[in-house]
Amino acid sequence: MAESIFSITIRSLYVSSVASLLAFIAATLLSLVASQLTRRRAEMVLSFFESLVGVPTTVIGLLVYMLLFPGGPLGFLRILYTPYAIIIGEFFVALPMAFTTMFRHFYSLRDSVRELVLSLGEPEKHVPRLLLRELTPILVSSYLTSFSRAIGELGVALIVGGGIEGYTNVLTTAIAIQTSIGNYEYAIWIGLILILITIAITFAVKIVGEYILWR
Amino acid sequence: MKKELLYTAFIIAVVIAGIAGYYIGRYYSEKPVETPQQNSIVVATTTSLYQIGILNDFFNNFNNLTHMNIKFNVLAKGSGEALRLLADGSACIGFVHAPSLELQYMNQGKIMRLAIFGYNEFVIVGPSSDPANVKNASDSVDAFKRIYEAGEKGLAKFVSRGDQSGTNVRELQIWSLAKLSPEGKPWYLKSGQGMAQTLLMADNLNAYTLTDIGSYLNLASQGKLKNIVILKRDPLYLINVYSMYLSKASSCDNPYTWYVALKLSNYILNGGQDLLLAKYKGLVNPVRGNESLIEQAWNALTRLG
Repeated sequence: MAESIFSITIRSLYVSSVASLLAFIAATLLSLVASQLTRRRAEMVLSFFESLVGVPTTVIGLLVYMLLFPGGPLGFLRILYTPYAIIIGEFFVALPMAFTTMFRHFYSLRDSVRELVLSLGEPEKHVPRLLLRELTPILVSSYLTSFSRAIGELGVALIVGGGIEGYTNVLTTAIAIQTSIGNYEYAIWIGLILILITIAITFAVKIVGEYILWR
Repeated sequence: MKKELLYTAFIIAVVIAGIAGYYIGRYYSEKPVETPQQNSIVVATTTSLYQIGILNDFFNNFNNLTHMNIKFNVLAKGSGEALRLLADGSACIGFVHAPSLELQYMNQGKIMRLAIFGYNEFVIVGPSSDPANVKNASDSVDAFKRIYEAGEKGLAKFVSRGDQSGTNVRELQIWSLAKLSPEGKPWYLKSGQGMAQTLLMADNLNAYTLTDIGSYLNLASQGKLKNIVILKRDPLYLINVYSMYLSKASSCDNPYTWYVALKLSNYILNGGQDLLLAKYKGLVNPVRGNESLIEQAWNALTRLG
């Protein structure tokens, strides 16, 4: 109880936003590469990532632990039980989410925008600009979705972060640890904050979605 | 067309990378990168010591006394997991209470004992109506036999930690002393959770469970346990010994860690004992004055079951 809920919240926002931002960048680049594939191959890549979305975060946490513990292949980095370890783990949690939410649009928009531009008799050089405009809201909502997945996960943060007070304690680990020592009241307060954050994100995603429809 | 698409994508990527860079830069500048081993040490501990608040007091007093200003990064886990983390070298110092597991890891040469520093007792708690008549049992083994019989008749339930924690290990030892196997019985429930959650579960289900007395009193004093009371104590089989360990893994094998660990154990065996006596009497008792007795008890516990 030594740590204030505020500092836990700030830490949680930092860690998850960095992790999901990295995942988002990777997903964008991946989407660009994959959108050059034929439709069948692209579908296969997409289904692969869709299946990864369902992998329990504890499994990802365990895998990252095996990677980072002192005897593991990356043990020399000595970043186990630091915020960086959580960022790495949450990167892998957020990546499939970011990719699956953006890639389908990438693929379908590429062709349809081009057809639209050409059928309106516009020069082909307008395609990228229009494409960017079409993609922006999708990218934003994809980022927010992967962020909410990262901030709400427990498995990675608990296994490779450890929930160290004042260092790697994030919202979800605080809930888990306070619950495990019977301090349910405190855990519920943190839970409420987590709920507020995810609700805010859902609304943001909705608003961005509306923007796509009504623009 | 493809070139233009890639070109746009490149610009997007650069912009995003810029934002990310700024973000990460801010993150780093607010929290300067510290080499983890320089002034911080990872400590794995059994949840009960963390819950009662003993460890924080130990560390604060230690830092005040020695002016070393070491940051102890505390991981609150069950004893089984804590010992595994020590063996891996993920944590360097450990506080645990599972003698038979400790011996196993010591025999494998993975950990080294620094101190046996405290003890309390496990107690059998259960519904105050006591359907298994545990109160009149001759000892804990007899009590477990009675719970088993009552369980088979559908009168009682038992909640087990089921997580290889110190408490769970002891519970399994008592079952094997009673030559009974409750595994898979419908009245034998495994919570797989910490002691506090297990106690609350037992409280809600009117079930029996084995707990260290510290966790029980901590929760009971907050008024969180309505139905279950202490039913059976047993000084022979239910003594609970807390020890401190140092990992022998190569990641902990440096003079700094050893120095801190030895200083810390030295503190806990001296000043720390006064603290236990003054503030935590009954929750965790100091070993001072009874060292050889407690060590004998520890040895006996490793041979149980």
